[in-house]
Amino acid sequence: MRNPGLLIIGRALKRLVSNPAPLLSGLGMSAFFLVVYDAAIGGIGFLPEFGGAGYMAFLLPMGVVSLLFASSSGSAQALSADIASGYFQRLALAPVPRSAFVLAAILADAIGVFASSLAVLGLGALLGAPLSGGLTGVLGTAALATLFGGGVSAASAATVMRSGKVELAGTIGSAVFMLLFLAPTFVPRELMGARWLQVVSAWNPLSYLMEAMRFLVSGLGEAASVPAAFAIAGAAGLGGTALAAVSVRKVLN
Amino acid sequence: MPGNIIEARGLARTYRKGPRALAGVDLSVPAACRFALLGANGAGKSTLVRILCTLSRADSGGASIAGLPLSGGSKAIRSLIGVALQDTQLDPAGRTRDQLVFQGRLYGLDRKRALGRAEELVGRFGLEPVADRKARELSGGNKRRLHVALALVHRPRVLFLDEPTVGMDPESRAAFWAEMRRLNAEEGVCVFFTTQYLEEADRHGDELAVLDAGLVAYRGTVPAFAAEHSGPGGDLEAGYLNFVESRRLAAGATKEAVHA
Repeated sequence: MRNPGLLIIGRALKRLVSNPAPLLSGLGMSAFFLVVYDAAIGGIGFLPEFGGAGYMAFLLPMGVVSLLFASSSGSAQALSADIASGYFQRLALAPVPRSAFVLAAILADAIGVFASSLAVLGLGALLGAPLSGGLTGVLGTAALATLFGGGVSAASAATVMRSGKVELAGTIGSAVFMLLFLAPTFVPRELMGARWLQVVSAWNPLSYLMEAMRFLVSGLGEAASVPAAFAIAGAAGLGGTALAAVSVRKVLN
Repeated sequence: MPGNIIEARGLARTYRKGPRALAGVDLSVPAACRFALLGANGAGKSTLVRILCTLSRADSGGASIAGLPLSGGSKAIRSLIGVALQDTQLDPAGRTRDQLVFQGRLYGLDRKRALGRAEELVGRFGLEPVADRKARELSGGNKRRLHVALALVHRPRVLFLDEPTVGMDPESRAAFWAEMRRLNAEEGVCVFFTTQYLEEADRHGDELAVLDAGLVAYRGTVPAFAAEHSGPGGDLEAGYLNFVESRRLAAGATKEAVHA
């Protein structure tokens, strides 16, 4: 392995494995939400607005998206540890692009989110979601989570690099968590009681992400949501990554 | 100028919400020289080192290393230089040998050559007993040795050392300087170091510059500086103190204020 890019990615993945806390807490939270919400309000799944596939099929995208709340802060934590120890400066002295160290950490997070998404979808199947979209649906959903999660991870890393404060690593994840409650997460848009929530959910990018995942995994809703969701997730991934790459200068200068 | 490995012209840097660190530094350093950069705290030594090793940017002015301008060739420059800044820069969770191997591979060595080079440096810096320990478990002296060893993995042509012996015991310090002498004499490495220990500059520097208020206040050889400012046969420390006092007095301070 002469390619320094692969070497750097390898280090980022090793660190992810040696510090699995963000990934595990994301998985634990997702599993908890799926089980508890299904137990609490799963009885409404018989309503025709839920598409007849059962409440777990409707709820499952929430489990995937809520992974991002915790799982996407790993890169920010790893970078802030390197910055605090001074090791980031040593890495920055190597004859490779400095943004490579940030991008590798984000990529490691994205790989972690991909694997966690598959685990959550597997759990959903065990809890009764039909996964009628097959392998394509499962991989498409994991790809959406990975793209969007990469964006959340990159934005978290950029926040830490620009502020110099590791305690801000979770702010982007917290914002995602709040958006989850302003989207058709637990009931479809037409069953939302308040008009304002329907308006907000129409502007909420997570709404499109979850509706697309629902279509991909269980065939619920409309196919048109899928390209819109990929556009949103792709924009989040690219935008966040670009922001993180240019934030490296803040750490050094 | 031919023969100079470091050239700086008019380097200036002011920190946001901070003081002016450099006010237009002109400096030439010959290749294969042991060069001491002296100056009081806040004189701009660390800022100059950070700019020359591409970690910080100057507001104005320019510099080159081995003819490569900092502005355009920073990646090429980084493969020519080794850097050990004032604070140790180690991965706390990384083991001594692994960090040396990773560093070598980051600079393009294959696994076998990186391992060989790591073993060589472990031996040269007396790190054998802690080769498999994590950096967070090392003593302060061993951390500093590893810190310097990491800067040497890729056989740099210029070695920047910012107060390299702070925290080292006398034995480690002697071994460290012996290694720097060997690198300079046998491998032709230019050793550019800052220090507050004037006896180190005296014994281990060929040439020196004194920074004061962000400008080069003196540039010459170590013996010439000592002779000029402390008289014939005088040492560097006495010369440096006389020099600093004369600069303060020339700037308008009273003798009592200087000695206070």
